[in-house]
Amino acid sequence: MLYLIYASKEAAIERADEEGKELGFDYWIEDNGQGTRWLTYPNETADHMWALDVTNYDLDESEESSTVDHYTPLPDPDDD
Amino acid sequence: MHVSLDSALGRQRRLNSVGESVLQIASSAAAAYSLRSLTGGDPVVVRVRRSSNDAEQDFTSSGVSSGALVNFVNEIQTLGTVTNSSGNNGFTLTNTSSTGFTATTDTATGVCGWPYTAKAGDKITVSFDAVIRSGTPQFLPRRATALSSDNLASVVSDSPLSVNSTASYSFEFTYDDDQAGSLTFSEGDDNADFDISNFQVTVFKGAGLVETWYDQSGNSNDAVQATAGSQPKIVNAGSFLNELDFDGTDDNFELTSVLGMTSAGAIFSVAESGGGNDKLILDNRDSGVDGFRLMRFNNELQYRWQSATAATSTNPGTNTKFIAFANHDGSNASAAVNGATATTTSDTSSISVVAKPHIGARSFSSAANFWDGTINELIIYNSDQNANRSALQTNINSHYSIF
Repeated sequence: MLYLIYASKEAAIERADEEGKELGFDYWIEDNGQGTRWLTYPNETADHMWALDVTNYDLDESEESSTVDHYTPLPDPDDD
Repeated sequence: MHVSLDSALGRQRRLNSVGESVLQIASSAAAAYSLRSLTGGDPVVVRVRRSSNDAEQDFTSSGVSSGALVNFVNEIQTLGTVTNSSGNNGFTLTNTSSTGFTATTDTATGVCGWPYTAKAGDKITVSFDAVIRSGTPQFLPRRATALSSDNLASVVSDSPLSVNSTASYSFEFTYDDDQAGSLTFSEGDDNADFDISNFQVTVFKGAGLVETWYDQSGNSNDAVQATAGSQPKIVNAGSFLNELDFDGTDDNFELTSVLGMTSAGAIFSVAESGGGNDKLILDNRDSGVDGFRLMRFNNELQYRWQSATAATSTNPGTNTKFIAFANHDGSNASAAVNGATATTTSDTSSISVVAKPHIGARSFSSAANFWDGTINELIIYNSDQNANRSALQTNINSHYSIF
């Protein structure tokens, strides 16, 4: 798996939106707020950054050089 | 504490009448999800994205059962005119059409073909007639719609496939690459002169993913998953599953709005666990113990309401369908599997949850504890349904024949 790490959730979603548009997902075609919007959605990391799975994204050279192959997710706050 | 259903109810149970739907038996559902009609009519039940080209379509319960859904997923894409690779990688190509071409090369290089989008797990069968005058051309799928001499797609069957004699051919491929994009011919590392005619995709077996599981209760509280990678399957490799298959990794839905449950509620579900311990069917919490959840845990079906836990003595099992029942009547939380006597625990707490519930995952913080298995049906009430339990379970079991 390849991830890009973003400082904010908004920045990560912006990149996810860009890929969703590029792939032609229904949300971006119908313009009715319905349908698949993203290929992947960011998850918060242990240090409160946002990791976006870009394994199947079309990355530019700058992005390719910035990918990481793992991240530490937030600790599980559940009680089980 | 175990009590019989009758003594727990302390009153006459409602019996269902022949032909009554779930929402005719108990109409006040807060949200209701299924692939069958729960209303007695023909409601829109599901929105499906097909793997081949990501197109989406809504389906009614009759559209699901009639085969329209699986036909949508397995629809064969129309082929355009064959495309030659650019630059030095191309053939000398004549007689081009949507079904064939004549190709020659004296440089031992050449690629041409038809763009065709497909995803990992999709199966494609193609057929064509070949006339080979010289060389040993090959048929093979490639990753990109822009043809080049590399980018070979990964397929389960051996690749490439030799087209080394004049004959009719038919090949089935199973892609294991999400970027497969072209059905191509190449020269086979030799000079070549050959005709291809009657080329067609005869069978496509794709995947169908659920983007929206529509609420049939009338409250428009649809269950939505806008992220492609987290959508449960309803069609796998061309086969209709007749259930929603959650992968246990990231598949889940978020409801459109909160449920508004306070002091009483009930859940009926048809599900099947694929294994593991901590698996959420439905979660409606703001934090660890603030709210309720229905889950399979420690080989039990558990209904946790605030700090109270009603855990069934019946193991719902793995790889077998079960009917889950969970209820809070304001004084007791109870849970049962397959019509068995409910396990009840005393609890008078109330809840006020602002997070949107999730099906198949945790509803607070980030999604986690994913359901690994299938869900056929999930009906949620913001009220005590002990009185309707028998009638609803009879209706559900009549449809699914579980116990």
